Amino acid sequence: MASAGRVQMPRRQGSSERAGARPRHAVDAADQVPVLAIMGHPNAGKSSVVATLTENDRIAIDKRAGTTTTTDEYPVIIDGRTVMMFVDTPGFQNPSDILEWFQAHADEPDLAGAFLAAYGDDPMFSHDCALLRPVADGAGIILVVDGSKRIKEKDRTEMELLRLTGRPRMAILNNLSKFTKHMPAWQDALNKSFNSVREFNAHRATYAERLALLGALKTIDQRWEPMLEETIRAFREDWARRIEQSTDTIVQLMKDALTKRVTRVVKVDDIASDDQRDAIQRQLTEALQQALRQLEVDAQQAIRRHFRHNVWDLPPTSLLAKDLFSEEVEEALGLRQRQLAIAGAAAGAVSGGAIDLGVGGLSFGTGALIGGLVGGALGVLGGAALAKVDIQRTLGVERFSIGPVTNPRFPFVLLDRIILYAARAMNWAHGRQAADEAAPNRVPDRELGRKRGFTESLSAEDHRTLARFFAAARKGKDDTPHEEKSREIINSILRSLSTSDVNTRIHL
Amino acid sequence: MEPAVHTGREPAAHPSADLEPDTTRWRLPDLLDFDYYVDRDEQRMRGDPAERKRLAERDRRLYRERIAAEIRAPEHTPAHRSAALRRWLGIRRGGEDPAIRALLPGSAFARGQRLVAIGLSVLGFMAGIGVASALLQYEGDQPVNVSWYVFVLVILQVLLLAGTAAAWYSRRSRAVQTAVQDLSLISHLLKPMFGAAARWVQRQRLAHLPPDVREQAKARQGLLSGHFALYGPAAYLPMLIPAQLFGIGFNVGAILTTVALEWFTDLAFGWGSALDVQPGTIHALAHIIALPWSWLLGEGTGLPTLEQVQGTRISLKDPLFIMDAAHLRSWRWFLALAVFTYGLLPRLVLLGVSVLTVRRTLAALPFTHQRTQALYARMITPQLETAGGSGHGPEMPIPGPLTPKNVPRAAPRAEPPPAATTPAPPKQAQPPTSAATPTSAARTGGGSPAPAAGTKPRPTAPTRQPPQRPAAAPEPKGRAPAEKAPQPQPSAPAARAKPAAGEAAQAKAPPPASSPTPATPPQAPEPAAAGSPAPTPPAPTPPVPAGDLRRARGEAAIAPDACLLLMHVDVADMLEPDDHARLQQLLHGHSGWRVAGSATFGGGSAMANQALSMIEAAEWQAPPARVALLSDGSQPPITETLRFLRAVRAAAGEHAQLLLVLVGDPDGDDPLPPLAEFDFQDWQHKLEQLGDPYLRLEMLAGPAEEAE
Repeated sequence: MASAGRVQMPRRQGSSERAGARPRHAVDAADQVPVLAIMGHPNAGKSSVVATLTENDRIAIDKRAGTTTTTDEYPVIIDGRTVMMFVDTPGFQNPSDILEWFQAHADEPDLAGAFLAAYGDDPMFSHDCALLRPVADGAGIILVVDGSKRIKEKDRTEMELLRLTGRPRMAILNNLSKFTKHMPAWQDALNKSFNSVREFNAHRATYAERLALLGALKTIDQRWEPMLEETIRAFREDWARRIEQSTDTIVQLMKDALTKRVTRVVKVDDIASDDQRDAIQRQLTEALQQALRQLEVDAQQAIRRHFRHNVWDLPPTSLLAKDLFSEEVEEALGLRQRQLAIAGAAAGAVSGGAIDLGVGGLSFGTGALIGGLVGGALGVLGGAALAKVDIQRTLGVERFSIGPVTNPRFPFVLLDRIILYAARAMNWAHGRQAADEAAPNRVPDRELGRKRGFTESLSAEDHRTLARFFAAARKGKDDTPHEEKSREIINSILRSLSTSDVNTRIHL
Repeated sequence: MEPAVHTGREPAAHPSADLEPDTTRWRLPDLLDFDYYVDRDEQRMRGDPAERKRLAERDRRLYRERIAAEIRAPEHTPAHRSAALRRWLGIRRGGEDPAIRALLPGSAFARGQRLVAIGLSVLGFMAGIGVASALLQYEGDQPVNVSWYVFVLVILQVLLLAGTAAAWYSRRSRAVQTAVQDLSLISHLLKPMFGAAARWVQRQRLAHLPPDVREQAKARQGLLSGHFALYGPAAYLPMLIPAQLFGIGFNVGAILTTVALEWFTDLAFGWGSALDVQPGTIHALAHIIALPWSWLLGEGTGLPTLEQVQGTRISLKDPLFIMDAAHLRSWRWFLALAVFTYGLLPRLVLLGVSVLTVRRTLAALPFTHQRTQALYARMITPQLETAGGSGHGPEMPIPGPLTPKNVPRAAPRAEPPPAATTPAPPKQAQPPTSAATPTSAARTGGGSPAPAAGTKPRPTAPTRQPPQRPAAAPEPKGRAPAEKAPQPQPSAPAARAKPAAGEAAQAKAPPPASSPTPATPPQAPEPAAAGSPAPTPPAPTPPVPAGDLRRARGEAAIAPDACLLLMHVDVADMLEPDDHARLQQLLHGHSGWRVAGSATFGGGSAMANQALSMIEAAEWQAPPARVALLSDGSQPPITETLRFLRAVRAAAGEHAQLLLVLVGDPDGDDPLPPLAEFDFQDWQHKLEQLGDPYLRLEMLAGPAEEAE
């Protein structure tokens, strides 16, 4: 154990920046917290991989090489207990020298530790020592290589030197581009030196792919199995909870949107002409639309938070960046006319809105209902008005009110949009922040289907359930059985989105 | 609403939690309190989305620290959910201020329910007394008619019970359901009573609180809302027990009245019928009715004998006095026992059943409402966190210059003009640098720091400026004249040619003039520059295969227009023989140099040493040395690369002209593709930090198309 004694020396002297970061016994001891050092040469995408795996979009990722210049630890903490740790390391700066040193000291039982002992103080090797330190401390190795590039001498050097460390190791082929011609060569080369080789696009990885990668780590060191399984379970449960939360948010959005009402009271004397009345109606319609937009934005923010996105935001080309009431959105999302008719019939033809109108008039006992007008051209959606404008005259004032939304199409469009948003949020890799979206050879986003939303492909039964839920929500009814069923429908859409059972329509 | 920060500590703040019985049993008031707390959390989450995380943390902590260990059932089972939620409620409630706790909807409701129950039993009791005394009305002229008494107090009650039982057992059938729904209108009458009573209790309690607590309670949303509703299977539970209590009160009242009247008054009982009913039939009926107690109190006491039955037949034509007084009293215990057996006992049983039903229903509540589910999920879902730092630390190490190993075979030359105003990068201050500069400057090796400082600053300029920026280009005139000289290369991109020409013009003549160090005669650079123009045209430099040249290294003198080429193995591996020709042509375009010899580097120290020794061994016809390096620019420079550049500098001499040309990563047939602008800048940035004035960085071919 003489070498073990030497291993520790450089740690005490040389690693002031890491001092106290982690009790090293926690690593060596029997509890076996898997520590994985993410390695690779500068610019291979190590930080993106860590960011995606730990869903940390605040890790500074820069396209420039060597942005990560210090070893940083990214623990996964379950209930306050660290169950595994990713260590993002700086890139190799002197791989050839390390390899030659390793080869010259092949009889050392702990090469990484011995190297640290020898070069821990050399500023020229500060990055190399920082990245070998976790390995000396017993970390497993994840080598990240850029699969879009051809294998270079340096890559061979690094593979070989990592092999010489004798630690459990896995390689990640992080190919951010669509060049795949080098991939087989990489696979061959990596297979020779690594226990496991996986392809993983840190910018496109979905939840399922992340979990698969974590699962694969089990294969490189069996002792980690319990901890990794716990981690995976925790990730799963956490994911299920996020989906629950998002479902709540969506259901609440639908209920809020469908009960939204905008009212304005104007003195009769102030209304000189019908034009003025029209103008007021237009303003009301606009106000209602604005309120609905705001509700949608709030819900989006909530979902964004559920999925731990701090940085990500929508690309301007997305359908989501278009106005909620724009023609494109209306065309792409929601139900087709026929589906809508069937669903609407089931929901008691609320679309007609005549009953609401009548009741609205009566409810205002003393007032005389002088007009139930549809909300002008502004609010038209699928050929029908967004909501009815109600005008009642009482005691010298006219009370204009618009809402709740009676357009049968609108709730489906809104639902589609928010699900689309959720789909993007849940499938947006956290390591993608620095991705060069304009790069000519980046991996295209997932397959392009026809431009339609999610609700359209539901069954007619589900359409009816949703329509009934919308109808009940419009009347302000809570906790109806339809709501419960609709919640289940939405929940299952979200769930299948995260397991990629359903096209995420990321192109929309 | 109290500040959210407190919520985390709620349970800990009040150790009175043990006032709360440690139980997993649900009672009706618990449901109301539970509803209240869940509602409150939900309000809070809606108010501030960040609250969601705090609540998740709180509930998970409560669960892990105080709940999980107490429950044996496996997670996700209904039993576990019910028990966990009940304990959660206990902890939440236990953490309340005792004054507030008394105001919680649950306890108010419990008190209200108690009040209603007592009220109903008293009401029943009074009703019982009223009915019994009416039925036992005895004026002395007519005996009390037993039939009416039995019919009203026994048969009717039994029928009512039977109806209830039948409805209960067939409660799933639709017809019964609608019927029950109509009947449940009664519950609509009853239900508000509980709410009203509970509200009244709350108000009473509130009135007795100290003002500050009262304000606190009023400020709590939902606490005093007077909303005492129960949902689902629990909805009818509050009615069950009070209803039975009413029945019990009624029967007790009737029995007590009967017994009391019999004790304190002399009652005559009889029966009569206009039909031809035989006393035997009546006796048999009485016998059947008395079956439950006849084994204990037989004929004569518990029920009348046949003779007594015969003797109590009321016949309106006969006066009362002809009857036997003993016979007339013989029914008394029969009546009391009948009401006891058929009225009171079943009610007592029903009370027991109701208590059990309530308990069972509560124990079986699924707690699957979505709000409850959310709470349960918060408790059992592990809190998953990922943390980490910024990843920012010291930049990559930049190696300092090395002391030249041998004296370059070049004429001594002065240090470059202490050019005007380039700011000195801090890096250069390292001792090795200053050592190196003097050596070359005066050849004396004296460590004078002054020249060192002068040398550094200017160098950066030439390295930095990218070829296609004409504005920057002219600046470096004095420094690297030799490289700039060969302007008329055909292969160079048009953009580049212009500045080059300008530079060259400046370079050739002006150097001596512009350089403020006239002391030292212009040496190496100028000759080189002078020599180069002649061979510039591409024709005179036929590309020599690298292999041949390699062999030739060190032996032959290197012509004034020739250089040594060091190729990175990554690039060299890709080159076909005819690529070399193109490479040399391109190189010539950049520098005007022919390739006199070449070597590879990048494959470990042995290879590097070989390359370095080739440089050291070279004989330069026109010193200083000229070395071109070809490297793969798609890989960012690392310390190792920079160290090699330093080593080359040391081997070639301080004023040797180094030209580093970069190629991109070949992805097609072209082994020497252009480099992306982005990668080039990355290299530039790193090389600047070397502060080597005689190191020039170029792209071999023009910048990659797509990068622009």
